[in-house]
Amino acid sequence: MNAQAEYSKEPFIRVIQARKESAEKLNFTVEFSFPQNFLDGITLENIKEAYRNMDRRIKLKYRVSIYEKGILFNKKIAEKELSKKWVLYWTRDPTILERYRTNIWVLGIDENLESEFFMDFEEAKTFLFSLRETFSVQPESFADKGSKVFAEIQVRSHRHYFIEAINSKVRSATITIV
Amino acid sequence: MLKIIYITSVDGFVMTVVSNVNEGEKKKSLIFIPLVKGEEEEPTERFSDNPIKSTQSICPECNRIISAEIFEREGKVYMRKTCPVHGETEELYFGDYGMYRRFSAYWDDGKGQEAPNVKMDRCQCPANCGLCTNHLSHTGLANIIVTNRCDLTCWYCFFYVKKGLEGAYVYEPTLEQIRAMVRTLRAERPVPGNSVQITGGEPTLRDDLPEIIRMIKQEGIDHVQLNTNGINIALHPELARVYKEAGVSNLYMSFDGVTPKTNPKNHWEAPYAIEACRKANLGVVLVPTVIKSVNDHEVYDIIRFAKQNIDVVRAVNFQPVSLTGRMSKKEREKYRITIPDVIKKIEEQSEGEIASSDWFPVPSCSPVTHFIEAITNRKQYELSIHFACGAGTYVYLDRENDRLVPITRFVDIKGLLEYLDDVSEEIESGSNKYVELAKVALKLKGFVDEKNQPEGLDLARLLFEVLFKHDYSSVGKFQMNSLFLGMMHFMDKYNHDEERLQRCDIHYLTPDLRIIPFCSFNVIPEWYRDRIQKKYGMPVEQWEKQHNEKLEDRLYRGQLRKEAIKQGTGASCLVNEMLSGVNG
Repeated sequence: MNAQAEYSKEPFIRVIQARKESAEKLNFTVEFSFPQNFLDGITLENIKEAYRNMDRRIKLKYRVSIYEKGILFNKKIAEKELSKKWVLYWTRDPTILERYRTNIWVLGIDENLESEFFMDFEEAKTFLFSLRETFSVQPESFADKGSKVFAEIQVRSHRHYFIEAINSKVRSATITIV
Repeated sequence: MLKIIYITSVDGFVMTVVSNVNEGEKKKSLIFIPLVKGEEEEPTERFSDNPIKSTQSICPECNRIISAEIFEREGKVYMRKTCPVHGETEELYFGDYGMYRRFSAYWDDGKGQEAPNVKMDRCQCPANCGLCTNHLSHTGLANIIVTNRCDLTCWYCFFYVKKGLEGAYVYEPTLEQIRAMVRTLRAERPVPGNSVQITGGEPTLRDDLPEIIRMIKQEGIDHVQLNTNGINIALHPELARVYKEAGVSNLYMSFDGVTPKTNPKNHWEAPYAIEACRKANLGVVLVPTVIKSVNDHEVYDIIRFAKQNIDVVRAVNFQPVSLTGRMSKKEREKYRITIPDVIKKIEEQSEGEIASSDWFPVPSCSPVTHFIEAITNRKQYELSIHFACGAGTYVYLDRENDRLVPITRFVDIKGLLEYLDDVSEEIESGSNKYVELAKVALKLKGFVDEKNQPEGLDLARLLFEVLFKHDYSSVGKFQMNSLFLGMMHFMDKYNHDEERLQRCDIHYLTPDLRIIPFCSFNVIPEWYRDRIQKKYGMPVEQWEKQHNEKLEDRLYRGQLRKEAIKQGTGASCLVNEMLSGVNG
């Protein structure tokens, strides 16, 4: 039931792209996800139990920061705050009832407060527990081509029926701007 | 000549009938279109359909529970379902996909029933309503039909008792039956019902109505709303004071437009009823049933009429029409209008004064409820209906510029709701309640842009009282300072969605001590309304003999109309007067 114990060991984070698109634009794409064993610990049984216990809104707040690596200090060059939510609800969707034998299902709410309906539970988990975010920044912020950058993600969530409270930071490996 | 005519009622329903009369011979008999097997919809091209989700619905012809697909096409949301016997039905479900996504983000299942009247192992909506074990909302508003007699004989109405029709029953529960119904409502758990609408027929035809109102109040109901066409009050203005003193909180008055054509029911009488309420200090909610191509061009004029009477009109609650009976796809397309469509019409007609983005779905109130629950540690009254059932916004009168200002123009509603949700979570996960409350008190003003707030209004203060006093009077004070604009779209057999029904919080109380969701009671009358009224009513002749009165004795004969026409006091005259004032 409690997958929290495993998660901080190997969260996945990487900057998959740091590219100078033009003289005006430098793009970074950051990917993050919780480790698979954490995700495997979240089951439909958890979800049903949480719903019965009136624990029906699971919100994760992400703060994504990009740093330029310095000799003494790292310089923050971009930051975004995002939140994603699951709302647990009683569905009358016959395809879900048939496929998963459950009437308690998840609705995703993205950072723009718009809904995402899922047909697949793994897809729903990916929605809440992973992130792919692209930043565009002004290249003047950097000393030169060849600067080293890394990303840091802080994730926070209150305690819920199937996860302990989360408040942790993870940092990606450093990559060089090309 | 056979002619298909739309018909409407105060509860927002339209039923199709075929009239077998020539033009101008309106009084001849009407024939309800029989359920015709095999008259199927034309197949629709589907390549551009974007599936959203599936749900359960019913076949509009045989009531069989069937699967239904909700999908997007060209920016609108549709429902499609196929009955193995009666074939496919496709229906407009929600007129704007963007609004559907925005509204659905406020989805919030209610607390359910801890003391259900009907025990069910699995969902069988819309069968066996009562409320059952699986119903997700407590009663938000309970309707009590005190009579099915009416002082009007609108040829289209299916609700009032029609003398001469075979099987016509007068349904008038006794005072003791009504008391038992109210006690059933109060026995709901975890949240006992506290809001009742007295409805009909025309409830003011009951001479013991003040006694009924007093009894309902004595049983512990906070809010008593009287659903009426207003005619009796216009004829006998002292009734407004009598009802107010008995305990009525407000009138819920049918008002379909600002011209005699769009509002044949009470165009001339409504201003008299409003005036009577003004004198009695009794609030009025105007209730327009909106039908595409019939009165949707007047939605903003209705708001302007409300604005002109803002001292007494507390709200306008638009009801996009519900199409009951058998109706062809072509006819449905002609009349069907959904919540986003009405919202857009208001935006267009008001030239952006009240925009689409100013509206929120009804369940968006949930963060406020969650917050109050977190600080009181007690389950609270909650509006947990489906997001597609209702929407609302508050507007305030900027007297200086004679404009209505929606609350969203000076309050960050989205931010405030998110913040309250976060604080509730903080408290529930063990943070010190008093520290969190102090933070909210300090931060509340930050959500209100005082510069853009209409003069004389201190909304932060009113919000503070709602959040911290959280009683009926502070909510009332919040309401009194504003004009509430609402939408409530009751379903019909074409767009029936069991996910919506399962969350319905507008219910009917019945003498067999059941509590039945509105869209079961009225959409499948053969299972609910008609059965109950037959069981607990009496044949017209018996009623007349018992009461020494003929049903037609209490009919309205249009006495006020001549006078109103002479004096120019109909709703359209008032709107025209107001417009000429503005233009001048």
